[in-house]
Amino acid sequence: MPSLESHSIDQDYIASASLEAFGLMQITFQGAFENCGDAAVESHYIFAGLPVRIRVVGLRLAEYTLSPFSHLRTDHKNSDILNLTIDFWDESETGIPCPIGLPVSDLGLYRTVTASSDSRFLSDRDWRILMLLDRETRHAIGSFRSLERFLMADRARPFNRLLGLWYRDRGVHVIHSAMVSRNGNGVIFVGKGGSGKSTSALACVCAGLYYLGDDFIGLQEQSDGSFLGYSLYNSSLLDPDHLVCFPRLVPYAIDSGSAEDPKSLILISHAFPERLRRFARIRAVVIPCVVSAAHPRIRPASKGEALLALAPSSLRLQINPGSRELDQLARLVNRVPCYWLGLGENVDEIPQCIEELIEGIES
Amino acid sequence: MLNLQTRLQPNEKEVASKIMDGEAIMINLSTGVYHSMINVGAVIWELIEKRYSLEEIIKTITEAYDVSLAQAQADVERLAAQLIEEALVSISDGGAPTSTYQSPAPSQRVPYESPRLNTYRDMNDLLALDPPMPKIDDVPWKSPSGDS
Repeated sequence: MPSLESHSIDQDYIASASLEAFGLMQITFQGAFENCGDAAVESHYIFAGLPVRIRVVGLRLAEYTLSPFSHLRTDHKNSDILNLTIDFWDESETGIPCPIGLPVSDLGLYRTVTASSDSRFLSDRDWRILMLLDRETRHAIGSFRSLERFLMADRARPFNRLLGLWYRDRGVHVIHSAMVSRNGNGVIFVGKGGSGKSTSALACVCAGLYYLGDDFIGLQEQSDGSFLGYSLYNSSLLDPDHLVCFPRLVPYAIDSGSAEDPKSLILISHAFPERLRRFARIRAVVIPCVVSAAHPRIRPASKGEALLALAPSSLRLQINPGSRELDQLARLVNRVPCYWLGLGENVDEIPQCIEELIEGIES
Repeated sequence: MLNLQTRLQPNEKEVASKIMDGEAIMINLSTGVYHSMINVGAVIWELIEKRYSLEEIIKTITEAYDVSLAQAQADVERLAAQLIEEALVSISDGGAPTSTYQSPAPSQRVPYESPRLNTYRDMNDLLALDPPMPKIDDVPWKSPSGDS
């Protein structure tokens, strides 16, 4: 892993010029927003119970970046109490370039995230995109060079790095899990990639349970020791082999058209808009695993097994994680019952296992 | 060079760890490599956290478990070397345990299994694709109403 010293040039630049850079981006965006008429879109959301405004200049960029948040949208607009503003424009559609120099395509290809020396500003950029976050004023601003370079991962989870920090600043920690719920009682599916989290969550939403996410969930510990899980995105990314398990989702698959970006994007807000929830109380932890069996089966898991499945990939998502974050995950698995879910051959039988689990919790 | 008087300490700068239900989980936050140990291994990790010397660890293990001194010593020395190699621990400067281990069954020795360090490297590839986050301090923010 590169050390921070290898980014010292970037950090010195950001430290000394961050306020000026942010101001330049603001002026440029404001000009784009005021002068691009119908290409400017403004919408309001509730992220983890907090009001957020997103303004995008560029209709296609708006479609790409706002769709995963559509279930969090609100008609209630109060610009006086916003907890976050995100401003973003499409350089190609508007003809307005980013005023901050971006790396040329042959250099700086890989994404870098840097912070100003006072930690107030965060920059997330590669040669396609620049996003700046001012943590003090709760304002994120950015530009995108060309939609031709928009990856499926960008469409599924827009602004994920900066949003992760904004959530953390508000006591919500992004964890690597899927989540479904019924009657406000939520079950999270945890484990490394390929263990069956997405399969389990998508099988459940196809069967009528509520969906909160298939990869990232916002975790918030309450004062009474319980935990809420917040939906962050209504998207799912599926390999072609995986998508065929869900024939009801196939009509909604969005493909990149590129062999280099093979996954399909599914927006649950398109497939099952009425089956989305913004949050639920976490009542159980389930560890899916692939087994050679005809039918899915649930059996108890130890707290250690649950923490081992949840913590390594969840801590990787978090900002400067340490013992405090691991302790919080330990409190979560200690608080609720934990189970293994052997997936079996028939995904259609998974929802019944989960519904019976929730019924047992509710009774 | 390890000897029986060596005291080890968890590498707290890079490693987060937790013991739950007799299982120790250790995560190297820099590399993404994570480890687990159960039963005897989890007890040894707890003793390392308390800064027991290798000799004190061996003595505690032989008192709690039905195992010979020679076997316990060989296993503890082997495990200590593995933990150092995986950068989970370093040699401590301390001279005494920070607290005392309470055996769950002090009156009898329970069956013994050699401790095993389970190592998982499946996070490495994910880390290679994702940029590292810089060190970020807390930033005070004003509520939207303007109050701090």
